[in-house]
Amino acid sequence: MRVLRRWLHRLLSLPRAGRRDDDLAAELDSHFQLHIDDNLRAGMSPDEARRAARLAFGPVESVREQYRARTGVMLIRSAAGLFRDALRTVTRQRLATVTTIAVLSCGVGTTASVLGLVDVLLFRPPAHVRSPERLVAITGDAAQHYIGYEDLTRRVTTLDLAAVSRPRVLTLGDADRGRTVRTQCVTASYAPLLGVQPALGRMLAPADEVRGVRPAAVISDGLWRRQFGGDRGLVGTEVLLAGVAHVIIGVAPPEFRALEMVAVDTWLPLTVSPELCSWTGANLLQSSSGNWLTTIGRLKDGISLDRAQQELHTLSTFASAGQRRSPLTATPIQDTRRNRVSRDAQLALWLAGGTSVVLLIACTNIAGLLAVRAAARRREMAVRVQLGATRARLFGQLLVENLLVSATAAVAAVFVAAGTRALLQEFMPAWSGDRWLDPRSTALLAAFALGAGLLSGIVPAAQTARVMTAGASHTTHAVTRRRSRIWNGILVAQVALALILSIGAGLFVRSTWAVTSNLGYEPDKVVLVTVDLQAAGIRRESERRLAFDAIFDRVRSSPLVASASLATSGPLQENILRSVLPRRASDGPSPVVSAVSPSYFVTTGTRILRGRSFTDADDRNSPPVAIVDSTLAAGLWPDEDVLDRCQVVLVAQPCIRIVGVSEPRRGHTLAQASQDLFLPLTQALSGHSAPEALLVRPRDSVDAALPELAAFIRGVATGRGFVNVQPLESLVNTQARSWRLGTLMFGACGAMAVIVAALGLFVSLQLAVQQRTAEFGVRLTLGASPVRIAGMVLRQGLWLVLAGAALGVGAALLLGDSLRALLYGVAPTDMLTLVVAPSFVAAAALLGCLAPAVRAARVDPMVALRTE
Amino acid sequence: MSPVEDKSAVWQGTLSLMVLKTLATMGPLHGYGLARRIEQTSGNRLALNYGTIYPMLLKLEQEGAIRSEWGLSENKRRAKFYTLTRAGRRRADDETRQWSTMNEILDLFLEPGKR
Repeated sequence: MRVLRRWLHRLLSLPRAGRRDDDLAAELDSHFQLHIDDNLRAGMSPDEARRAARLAFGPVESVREQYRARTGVMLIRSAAGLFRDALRTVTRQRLATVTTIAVLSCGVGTTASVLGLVDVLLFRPPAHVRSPERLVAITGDAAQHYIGYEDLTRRVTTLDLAAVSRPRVLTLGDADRGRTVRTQCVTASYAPLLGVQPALGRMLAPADEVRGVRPAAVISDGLWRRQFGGDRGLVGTEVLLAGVAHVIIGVAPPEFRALEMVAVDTWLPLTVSPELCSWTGANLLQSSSGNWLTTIGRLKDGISLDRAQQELHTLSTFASAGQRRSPLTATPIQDTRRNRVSRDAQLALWLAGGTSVVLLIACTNIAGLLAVRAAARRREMAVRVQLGATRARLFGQLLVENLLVSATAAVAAVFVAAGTRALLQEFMPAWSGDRWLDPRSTALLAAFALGAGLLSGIVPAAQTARVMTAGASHTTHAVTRRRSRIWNGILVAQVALALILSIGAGLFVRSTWAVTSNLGYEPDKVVLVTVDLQAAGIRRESERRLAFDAIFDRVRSSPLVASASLATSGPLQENILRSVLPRRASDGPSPVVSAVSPSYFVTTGTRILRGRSFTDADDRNSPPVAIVDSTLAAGLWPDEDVLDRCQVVLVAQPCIRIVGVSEPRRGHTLAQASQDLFLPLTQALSGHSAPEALLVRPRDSVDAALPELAAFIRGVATGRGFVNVQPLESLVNTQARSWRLGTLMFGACGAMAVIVAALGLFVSLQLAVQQRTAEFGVRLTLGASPVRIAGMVLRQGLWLVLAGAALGVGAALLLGDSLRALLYGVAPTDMLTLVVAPSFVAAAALLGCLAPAVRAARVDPMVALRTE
Repeated sequence: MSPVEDKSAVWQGTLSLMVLKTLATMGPLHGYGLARRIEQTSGNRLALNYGTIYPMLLKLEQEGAIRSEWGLSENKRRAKFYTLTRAGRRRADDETRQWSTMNEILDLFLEPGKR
């Protein structure tokens, strides 16, 4: 009760606390006056009287402190005085402050943005989709074409269904001056099934599916803003899509990226313009083969996933009587998404792990650094205690110092996070539309940084305050010695972790180098030209062939061009002919079939290892020929010499004579071998004989020739469709992005971990040197050379580094297998990496030991002995 | 060194009771006078740091046992005078009773043959 009353009084008097302070001063003043008066009256001299009064009173400062502690003046002074003191200390110890802020902000900033990426990739539910956990993707042959889909909608009772075509790139606008947009064709049930509401206008509805109605299109928020300047009057206007007029009926909400988590710009009704949605430009609505659709379903109310699975199972056994088809299964959307983004997601998880670890050891080391600083300020603290400062006051000051540093780090962390995020988006453009750093997560991030900073500061602060008020400086030794074993363990672990991350970075550097070199063609010397003939209304295969031939003839004879070639697909383009089955497809490799002109190999720079290239003599009337790459040759005919033999390669085709073996190329993704089978364009299979790509090797370098070349080709192709000219290298770069991101992030993590570990060593040895100053002084006095002293310190550090390195290499070898999936062309046990990375880490770590060693060598014996 | 250990809780409690009792018998006093009076009452056997009296006075004031106001001393110096409140008087009586009881009990231990 009494205590309560005291606190209440203190709280109420808080606003008057300042006046209280003055009041006390006046009261003490009067006290001394009264006492001096008495003393004078007793016959003392004025000086003597004053001295006696002071002596009788005791330590004035102590009384003041106690008084203030009771009045709440402390609190006011915390805000002003503590802040001023702290700011002074923080700015004075510039190096330590900057190091702390840098390490903390980098650690927190990168961790936060990488965790944001993991969230987007793996955990955040698709935006604008109602209860996504009830959605499933249906796999199985029958769910991948329209006939099958229609059949399913009639039979399935447990699910609502919708069909979506694979995204395709179409030309928006005039054929000659258009832009490409990613398009998906969907059934009218799509939007209601997902539960997505339009931002403007309406989504596709059953009325849009009626044949003969004006084709409708829904566009994405991104396209609406980029292309149409966010014009609200856009709904109802017409645009050209692949040469066909469409009415824009609505705009999808921002950040809606469907379930595939890919950026789609337009959605068209599947049944109205099926030609626009298939890769071949054919109407596939009546085709009961192929795999151009994805069927998705929503579990009806009260239906479990198991129920739906059972029904699909029954349906597939029923339907597949007679024909061999893959069974129908339903997979929750969340799972399919995890599979689809697996590489990015795996990478992100590794990065998240890496950055978190770095952050953790960064905090540990900052705690250590602060402890060193605190130890260095022993004398300052001791003086403060003598002057009557309380433990709370000391702790408070240390805390405010820490708060200052942490707050600065928190602000810096937000910027680091924004920068990292921009960088990640640069490398993973598919996710660029997502806001990773909304105000809420920014606040969270700042709080996180502040928390990390404070947490790493509280322990040393509390320790210092305790040690100092205990009054004996030698207790520091006891406290730190007790901790030194744990601390050494932490240091060894840090070096090991830094090494693991550095080895990871090394492996990534090697992988990225391997994955972007020896592609089997020369991306830096070739330009890829695609022409969207559909946009100009050229649809039939023979027409498309003629149109491309006309362009090809003009381009080939241009003085800008060294050589040019037509192909049904260029390197790195997705190949539609993959579905043509080879003879031994069931267990053997499945080749990518492309039809090309004779000059193809010269143009792309792909070498013919054996045999010959195609010639103009390989035409429709000559015997069929083919070129295979060496990987495919070894896979299909392991023990035979394939050259000049007639081989049955394709189903239901006569045997084809293999005339050449080409070097292996990298396929649609850089990490996979392509397994190419080349046919001459003149002998191409019907239905796959129209070229899709024109490859051009300019006489000049690509960079120099590109503008002129592009203008020339656009001129040639006027009226024939939308032309896209791009250096092959830019396609390679797109593919290489995630590799480079991995390298960059692992490299950054590794570098940070190395810096942090070096800092840790520096801190611990510095602390050790501080504690042993007297010992070194004695040794130096007794004749030890400074070099010997420095050697002692270095040896202590060296031992830790070696232990850490051994541990790190061991752990890296153990972890290697799980990293293997993310690597290319390099084993986790790569010798070069396992030698270079440890030497690098060791060098950096020893650098961290050097400063304390030098400091130890420079100890002045006299000073050292006087300190104790 | 005073006979009683300076910062102990016992000393704190004793000092507060001494302050209360002194104010009860002497009426309003300023800090210096109070300290001197306590010394005199103890027969100069208690040599306290005068400074320690001020935090104690503040504590008692905050607890409502005393109140203070500025006034003039007998030799015309400005000084802050402390007066016992009604609650303070009650508290002085309570604590006196408790101390007496405590002393009687202690006496039984310290001088067993007395009764």
